[in-house]
Amino acid sequence: MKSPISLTARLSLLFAGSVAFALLVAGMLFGRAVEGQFQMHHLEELDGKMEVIRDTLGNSASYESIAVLQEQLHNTVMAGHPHSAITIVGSDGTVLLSMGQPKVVRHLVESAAMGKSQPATWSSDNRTYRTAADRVALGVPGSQPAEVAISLDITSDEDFLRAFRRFLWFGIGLGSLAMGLIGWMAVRKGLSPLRNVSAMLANVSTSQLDKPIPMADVPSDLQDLISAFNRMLARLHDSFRRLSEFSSDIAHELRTPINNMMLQTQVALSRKRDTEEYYATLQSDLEELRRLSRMIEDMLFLANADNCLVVPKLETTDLREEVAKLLDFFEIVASERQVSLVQSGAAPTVLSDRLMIQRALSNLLSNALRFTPEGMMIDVRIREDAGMASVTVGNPGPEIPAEHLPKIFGRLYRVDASRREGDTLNVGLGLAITKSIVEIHGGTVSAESAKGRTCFTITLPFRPEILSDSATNDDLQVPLAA
Amino acid sequence: MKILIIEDELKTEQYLRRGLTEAGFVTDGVRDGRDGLHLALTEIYDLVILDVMLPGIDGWEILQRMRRAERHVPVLILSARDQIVDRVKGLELGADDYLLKPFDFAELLSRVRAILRRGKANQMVEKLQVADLEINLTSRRVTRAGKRIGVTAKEFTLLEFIMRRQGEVLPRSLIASQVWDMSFDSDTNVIEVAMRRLRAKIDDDFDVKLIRTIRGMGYVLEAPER
Repeated sequence: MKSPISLTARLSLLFAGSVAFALLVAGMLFGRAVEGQFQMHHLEELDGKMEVIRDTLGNSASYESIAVLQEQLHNTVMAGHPHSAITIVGSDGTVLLSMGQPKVVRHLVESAAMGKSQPATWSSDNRTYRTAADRVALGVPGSQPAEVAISLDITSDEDFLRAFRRFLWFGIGLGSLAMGLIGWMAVRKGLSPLRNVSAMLANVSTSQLDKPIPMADVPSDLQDLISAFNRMLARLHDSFRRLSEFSSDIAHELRTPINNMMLQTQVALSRKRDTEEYYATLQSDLEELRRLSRMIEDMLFLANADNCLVVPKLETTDLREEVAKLLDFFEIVASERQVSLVQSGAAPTVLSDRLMIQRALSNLLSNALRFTPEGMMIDVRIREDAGMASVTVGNPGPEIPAEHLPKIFGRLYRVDASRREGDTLNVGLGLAITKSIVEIHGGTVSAESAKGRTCFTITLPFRPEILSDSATNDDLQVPLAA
Repeated sequence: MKILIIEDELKTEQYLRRGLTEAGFVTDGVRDGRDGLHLALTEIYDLVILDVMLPGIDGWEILQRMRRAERHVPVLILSARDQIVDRVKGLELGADDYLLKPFDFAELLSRVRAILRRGKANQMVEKLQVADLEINLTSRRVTRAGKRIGVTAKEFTLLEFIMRRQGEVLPRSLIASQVWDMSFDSDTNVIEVAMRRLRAKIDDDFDVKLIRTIRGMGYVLEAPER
């Protein structure tokens, strides 16, 4: 893919382009003004000469005297204009007087004959002329006015204009180039904070995720961007930290049973023992292995869920029936501790993976059982709420401090880090698995704890939209438990 | 009863054979897909235990070729859990049961027995008896040494289940799934409590104990050897 043009180049080009445009417009206006100035000057000069001729002709009493005017006009009108020409043509078409280049004169006679009175520009032999014609009354008594045409040689002015224009275009071109260069430098300079920021971003490594980009060095335009980036950094840092904590916790959790096994097996092997003792050692090993296996199972489930590899096998599930079955199962343990289990409410059936939901709810129930004091009651309420089915497991017992509530569904999270709650099989992945399962179904989990009561609620959509190809449903099925 | 084990992992194959042999089965073991297929097609077995991941020919193909060759011997599939397995595929190809590694040996044994029991006319028995313990399935009465014992409905279901499987070590997970329809590995001690209560009623008042706990494995109900 072609990478988009760089910001610096884009800004420099835009800058150079707009400068060139401005110079062009200025140059055109300036050129037009100079040209107009010259034209006006020419017309004034032509007018002046015409006036002299008019006076002179008005004072000529006879046609003969007109013919001898040549000398006089040569000194007054033609002075300093060697290439100019004058013709005076009588009303009958006779040329009363002509002076100047023959070619020019011929042209003048023709245009005078055609009665062109407007000033015009005309070129011949690399020279440019401006001509004006007028009807002038003669001093000769009884005569018709004659046509007078004057041609002014403006070649040198035109040459000057041409040189001026060339100079102007050259200047504009050079100016645009220079401005482009200056623009490029300015943009580079102007964008240097951006480069500093990107250098800072480039320096962010996994070990520095907790260090935000200092806002003091950031131009105001970039503040929003950088603060968004800092927020992202904070979130990343949080997940990263949790992930590495999870890894180290899980390593620790795995090390404990392995350590137990190594220790007891080595002690058992250190001298000859009777069969009973070997038997006991093997059985103890088996318990540790089961714990390990279970932990790996749970972690695999969570990892697969994170990678969207767990696809629920949806079937019509009656939550009331499932809860009743679970309570029947847990009843035995609950009654040992005089804890009663009460179920209430109902909701329409949901489409869900029955086994997964069973597992999710059982985690909530065994969690509740763990914390409910003897003789108290755990209640399970099923409701239909805002287009979702919800199940709330509530139990009296020690409150979970508010600051722990959002983290309670985290992996290996324990409110009291030094204490392992429940029996040795509880490694603190239960609520995380519940959350995963519910989220796979497009539902939500929440927890609240106040006034000596803790409630966990899961909500499930009636018809979950599972983001997967239904054809792969079976291929991706990850088994839950043996 | 002759069982063919096709499993490439040396230790697994060895211990499976040892365990099954000790449980009273005659076993053949092969560690290669081709040899396994050859044996399955030429010898007569009552059951084939088949690993999916095999060198040479994989388990699916062995199963397919066996079925194509009209070999209808029951097949129990073994598969590693981290593979994304297709249970349905195995059952569609004609497998009879499916077990994921790591599995409890007791679970394997009870499934093997269940498969082998299949097909045999499940005679409608009215009574089950182990030593002097007797349950009547129609009247749902439990007696031991002629004395009536009162049990709850759930306890009766549990007792019936372990009596039908007498002599087998029953892992907790199997009891949970068969008696309570709970298919997850619970971190609570429900099964322990239930078994303790049942024992209190069945065994506590008697010198001869019928229910035994096999630590780390599960429970077994059997008449003690004399």
